[in-house]
Amino acid sequence: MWRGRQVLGRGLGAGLRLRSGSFSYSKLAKIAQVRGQALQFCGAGCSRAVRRGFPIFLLLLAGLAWASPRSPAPCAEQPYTLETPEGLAGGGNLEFDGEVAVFSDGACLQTEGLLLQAPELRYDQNNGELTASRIEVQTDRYRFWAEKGSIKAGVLQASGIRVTTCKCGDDLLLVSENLRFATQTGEVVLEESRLEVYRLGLARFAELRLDPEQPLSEILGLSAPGSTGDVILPVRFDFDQGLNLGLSEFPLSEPGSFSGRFSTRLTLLGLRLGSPDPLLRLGVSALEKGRRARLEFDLKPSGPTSRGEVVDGPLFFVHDSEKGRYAFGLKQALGLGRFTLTPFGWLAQDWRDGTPATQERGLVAGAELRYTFEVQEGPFRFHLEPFGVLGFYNQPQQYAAYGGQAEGRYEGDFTLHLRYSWAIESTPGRFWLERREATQQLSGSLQYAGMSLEAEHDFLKAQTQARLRLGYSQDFGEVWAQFNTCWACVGKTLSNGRDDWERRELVLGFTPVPLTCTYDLSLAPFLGYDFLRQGISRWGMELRYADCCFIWRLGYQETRIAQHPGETASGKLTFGLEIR
Amino acid sequence: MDGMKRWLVLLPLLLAVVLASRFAGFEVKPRGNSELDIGTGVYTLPTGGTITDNKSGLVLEARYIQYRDGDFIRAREATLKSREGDFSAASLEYQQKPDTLRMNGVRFGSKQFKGITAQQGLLFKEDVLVLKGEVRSSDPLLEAGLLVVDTSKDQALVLGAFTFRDGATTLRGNRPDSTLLLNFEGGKVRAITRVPPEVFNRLRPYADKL
Repeated sequence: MWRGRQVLGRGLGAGLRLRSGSFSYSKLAKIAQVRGQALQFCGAGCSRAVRRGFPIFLLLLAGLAWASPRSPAPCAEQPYTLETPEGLAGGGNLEFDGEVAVFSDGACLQTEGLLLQAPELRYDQNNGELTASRIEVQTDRYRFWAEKGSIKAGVLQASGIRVTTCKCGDDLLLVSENLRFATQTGEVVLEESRLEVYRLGLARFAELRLDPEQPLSEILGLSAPGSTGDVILPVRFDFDQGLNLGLSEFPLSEPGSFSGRFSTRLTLLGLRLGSPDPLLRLGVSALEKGRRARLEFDLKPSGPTSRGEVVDGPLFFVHDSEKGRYAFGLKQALGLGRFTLTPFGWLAQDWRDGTPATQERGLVAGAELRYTFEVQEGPFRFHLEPFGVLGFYNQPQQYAAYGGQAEGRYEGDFTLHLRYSWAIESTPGRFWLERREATQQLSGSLQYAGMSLEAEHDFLKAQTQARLRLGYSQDFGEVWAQFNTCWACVGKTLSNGRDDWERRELVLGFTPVPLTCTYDLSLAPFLGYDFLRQGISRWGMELRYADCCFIWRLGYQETRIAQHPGETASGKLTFGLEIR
Repeated sequence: MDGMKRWLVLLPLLLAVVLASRFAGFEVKPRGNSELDIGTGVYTLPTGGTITDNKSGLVLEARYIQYRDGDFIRAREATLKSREGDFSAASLEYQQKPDTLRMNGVRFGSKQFKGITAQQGLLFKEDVLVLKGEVRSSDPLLEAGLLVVDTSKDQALVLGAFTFRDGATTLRGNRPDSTLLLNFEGGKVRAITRVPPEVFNRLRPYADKL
């Protein structure tokens, strides 16, 4: 019943579907409706899953998940349709006197970027206005209810709005007084709205801009662009060398227009609680056009530390007390065709090897010149970006560095990518900001069907790392194997008390297809083996459960044999949430 | 050629006969010869002619006519001017009992419809016209499979999938059981898909007779 379909993209456009809906449910009716909808929503695949119950649950534990295609019910399939300059109207019945058309018994209007359904629609041919009440808009991602609305000149104006991403029910809800939807641009504006989760009001927006194609988590600035609804939870509760608990980047709503990001966020976190090295973090960040500020204070047994960044146009102040780094200065990039000249100057302090013993403090002024050349011919692309940096200190010492990167890419039946990057310093830089560390790296990747190979050789460290991944995709998911290697990585790093990062690790895993059915489960396990040290290197699994509104993720990962300097042998309990 | 023996070739003549209620009393003007089969009583006008009903004003003109007094008139490549409008048909057959006019390859024009064509047509005594098979009209623009026109009540019932255009809007019935009632009032057409039962029950049976 709540089956949705992407009707049109943005512009041509972001598809909306309005259909008849009810505004008040009793709890029991709602539960019944929810179950009914869940069965209908995903079609036979989900029906089967729900009916089979426990055996299916066991199958899911084996790492299987089901998906079923959605089938559309377009307006053109209505018993009666009326082609109007406003679009295609349809319904169960129609009365038309040459001026006013009244569709009844379930009606719809499909126009550019909009598919609308309501119990009754009235279309006035003279003024080109369509009016309806008790309407519901449905896209792939959203359901919009409106008490009443009208469409004229490609703009939908509606009032009494409720918006949810939930496939059934409305435990995650945006309630708004008015909605304006421009079908040409696909832009939806909600006026005077508030966000409710399980009936608990979380935020208010004077004006909230929605893109029907965009996940709500992204619109609210709770996930990275391009992610599939994965929420960066502002509330943290997990276990990793200790309990991590508190608010992380918790959004604080403010009056005014909102589109994309909360301008102010608060962090209040207890990290590694219960371990010998617990930490209390207090942070605040603010963002507006051309300005940003972020400050974090950590309290731990070894003493307080802080880090932060304040940027206002070309002026900035950054610091990290743990690394002994402070800088106040300015930096401004100037575009000159393919060249970019960035003059800079700052007053800075740095601990060169991370201890106060090597503290440097002083002034620097200089500039970086960067040249960008890019050419694309069919599937081939070439990018060349050499640079040079010249810096003058308040000492006789000067700083000069140059380098660049050359990158070639082929994207056809297979993808091949090669990159060479290099940097040469005349003398070591005093501060981290102007420093361009000596580099000489060749890296490449090859992707073809379910196979991908990545390799990188560092000429200065004379070490090579490579990763080969083979995947076998089926309807239920992908079985994959990944071989991670690092050659000549002996004695390169002393982190974690180990000096040997030679690596020959094979990781086997299964990634189920994304959950599309309500009340569905999937499990994604993985297991790694270290061939050099002859033991299990890592293992873990993630259980995913989809309810009407969210996909809940609970995972456990344990690293038994650390494979690179950034790893420690420990277990990690993770909790994740996605908005469906 | 036994059949031919029964044919009697007559000179062109004017006849005034009482045929039926629609063609109650009419004149026949053959374009050429008129032949009478005395065995069957069927007159044949092989080169056509004109039949005029002076009372009702019906005028039938055809390139081939065959008729029998009090029974039927058959015609090919015929035009018929009637109260309901002007018809032309590739062939038509008038039956006195019941009082019906059956046509093939019909073209019809009336005050309600202009330039309507259909594969088959059936005109009843009650001023009801049924058109079936690729029914098309130019004004208003209509495409349908079956149309029942009640000229006395200025109504038309469309049955089955249809396309109806009025001004800038185009109305379509997309299903085989679609219905559309057109009411012609004061130069405007009012279209209703939910046909009142009394209208539907009155007009629907006519459609079954074709």
